[in-house]
Amino acid sequence: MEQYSRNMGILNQEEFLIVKKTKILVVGAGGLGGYIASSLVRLGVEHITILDFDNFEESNLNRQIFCSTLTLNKSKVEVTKEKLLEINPSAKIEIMHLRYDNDINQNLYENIDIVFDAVDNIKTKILLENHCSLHNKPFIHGAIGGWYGQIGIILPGSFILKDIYKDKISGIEKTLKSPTFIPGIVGNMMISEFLKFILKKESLTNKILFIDVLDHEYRIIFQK
Amino acid sequence: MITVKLYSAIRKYGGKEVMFEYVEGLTVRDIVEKLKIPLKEISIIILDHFDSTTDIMIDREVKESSLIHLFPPMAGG
Repeated sequence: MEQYSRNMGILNQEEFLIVKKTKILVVGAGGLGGYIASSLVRLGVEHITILDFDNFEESNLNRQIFCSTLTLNKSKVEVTKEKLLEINPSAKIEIMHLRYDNDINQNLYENIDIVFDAVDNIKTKILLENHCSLHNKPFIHGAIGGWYGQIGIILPGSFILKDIYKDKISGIEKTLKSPTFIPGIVGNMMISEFLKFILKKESLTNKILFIDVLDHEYRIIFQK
Repeated sequence: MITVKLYSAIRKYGGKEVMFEYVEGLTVRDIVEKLKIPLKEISIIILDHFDSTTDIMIDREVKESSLIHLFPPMAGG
């Protein structure tokens, strides 16, 4: 319990039990996904499934928390599992080393309470939104590019991403890329929204928050 | 005057804020075209506190003192 003592200033025992018992699926183990997975375990979440098809490469070293010279060319999900178990050896970490696409086995959603969107493209984000809706799972959306990010909690049936991305193929990340600090900031803001959501506090439910850390502008830009 | 606030990558088309003279019948599309912003680079428009997607907002008429916010799509992970 000592390992979570610094979280207990904002959580009571009952709330901590809710955190522990919530079963999470994190889709994507790159910039956002690495921070999300790390913070979930440090928050006390014990059941996490992580999915990613990719291996760590040199261009990930600037920002992906579990990417180091020692983990280059290794499977992101395998490394992530290893690192998470170093933080909490009794956590139940399931990994899937595959690409999230239309053929994904839908049994994946069995025994999952909440899904995190940590993927890096519009097509997969919309697919994930569809599947979460189909399986009646709320999902925590996040996206990053340059100095900017956006987050929100998408409830089943609201199809917010389908609305806001519509016919778009890619976004500002294509030109502004992903600097060192942005996945950690946005990924951890997704975690705090997740915590508020499961504890039934006011959260960004069916709202999209735009985050600009260059000029410190934070604004709800879309809601349903 | 109409105030247009641009965010993130869209700022390359005019900086943080651009002002326009109001003329009757002016639409959001007129302003976006004046700024030479390709529509595919905008995903959300807020006009006088009403937010929606580009297709819904683009042909709305603006008012004498309208405030418009333009946001681009973002999808990195």
